[in-house]
Amino acid sequence: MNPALHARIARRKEVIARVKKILVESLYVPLPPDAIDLDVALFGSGLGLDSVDALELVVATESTFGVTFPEDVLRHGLRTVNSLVDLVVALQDEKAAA
Amino acid sequence: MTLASRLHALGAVWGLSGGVATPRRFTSIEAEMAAIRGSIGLSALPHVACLRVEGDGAYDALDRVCPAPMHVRNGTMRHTLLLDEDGIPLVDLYLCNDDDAYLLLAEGLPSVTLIAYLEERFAALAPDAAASVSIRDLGETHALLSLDGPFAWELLAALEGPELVGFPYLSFYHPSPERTYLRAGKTGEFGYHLLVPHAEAGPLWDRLLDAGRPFEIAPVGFDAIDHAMLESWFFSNDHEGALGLSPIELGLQWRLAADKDFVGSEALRARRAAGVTERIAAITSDGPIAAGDPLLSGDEPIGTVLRAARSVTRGDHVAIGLLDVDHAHSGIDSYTALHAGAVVPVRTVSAPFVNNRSLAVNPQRHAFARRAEIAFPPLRPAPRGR
Repeated sequence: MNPALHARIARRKEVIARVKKILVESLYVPLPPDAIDLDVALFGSGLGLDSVDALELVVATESTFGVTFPEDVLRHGLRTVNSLVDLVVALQDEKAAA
Repeated sequence: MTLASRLHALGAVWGLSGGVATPRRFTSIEAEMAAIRGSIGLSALPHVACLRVEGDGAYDALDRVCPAPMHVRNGTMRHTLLLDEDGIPLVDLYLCNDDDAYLLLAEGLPSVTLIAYLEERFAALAPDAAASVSIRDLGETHALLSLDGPFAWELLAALEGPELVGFPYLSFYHPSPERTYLRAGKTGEFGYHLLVPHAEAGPLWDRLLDAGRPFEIAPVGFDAIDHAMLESWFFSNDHEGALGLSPIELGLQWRLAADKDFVGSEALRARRAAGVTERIAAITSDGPIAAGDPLLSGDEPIGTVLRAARSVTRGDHVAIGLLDVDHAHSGIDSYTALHAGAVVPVRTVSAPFVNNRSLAVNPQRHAFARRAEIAFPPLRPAPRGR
């Protein structure tokens, strides 16, 4: 694996690990982190989170990563673990570039 | 005139799903997808095995077989699987608690084969409970219709009453003792399965088509539903489910209880202990790719395309890839596929592939007739997190 790809994936893995930690420790998802699939739906079926969990997830994720989610991207950003990680990574990049 | 004769009269092309003949297409996949994504698609689903498991031992017997936790509230359902002893999915299952009996809606096996699977495993794993369990094949007496689309709720509410608007996802009710309406579906849009006696199925089909005309309803075959499933990242028994992969590689661990034994649990524990080496990832490309194409990072082989199609909704190509776990991450645009001797750039993305219109539709405020007022997001998600 080339170094640039390795660095990109390593960064993503770190964000994934912290998002899963939030899901298990703050939202009490009853699965071990390894069993939380990256493209699983967070709400409805999938992990079965509800609207109260959504608020908790937003607050915990913003606090953990030092970012603020724009309201207009939340609907897509909160669909899956992967889409949430996409959002965090993009916002961190925007913050670093500012 | 039966439901089947109505489907034939509409020009249905039939084909197999899970070994059972089902209407696969009426017009074109483009027209049928337009109904599913923009208005309402009406389908008949004879390939879905519908069973009623009841008796004093039903809970215990199913608990030993089914991978999902059994605490499902009355009137609600859980999306799970049935596995073989090697931990490989056989059936994509809705498990519904119907007043301590269980309604099973299953795709992947004919009902006769599914009943044999259950009876054998009940007898082997829960012999005491099995003695007081009966399994009824509802396919002998009932037909399953489905409404899928961002305005499916509005048509059903017009026919059955406005209380349907608040009907939660993964719940069901009986509008009469012999009918069951379930809020389910795998297209990513509002979906309702209507399980009704055979004698009522044909007239109901006609009523839905008549009342659905102002909503631009269209009959849709399983090819369109199956395509919508791919776009919305729903597991397909006919495609990736037929490749001998376990729920670990398929990203379906959320359908399994973490703390109980079930058919296949021992094999899954062994697979985890040996180390997971591959998992599926969502892929898009501007050029065509196909199942079986190798995936590469530079010159390094990193996986294989399991399923691919040109997305009717997006216009580009979407695929499920099986990648080694180190490379199976979203947001990478440097991989390629080798397709028919040509190198095709691909991107890993976060599933699902589309922004379903139903996510922007609020049944309390919106209506099909005023759909131009709804601020729909682009159907194709904007990439983030590169």
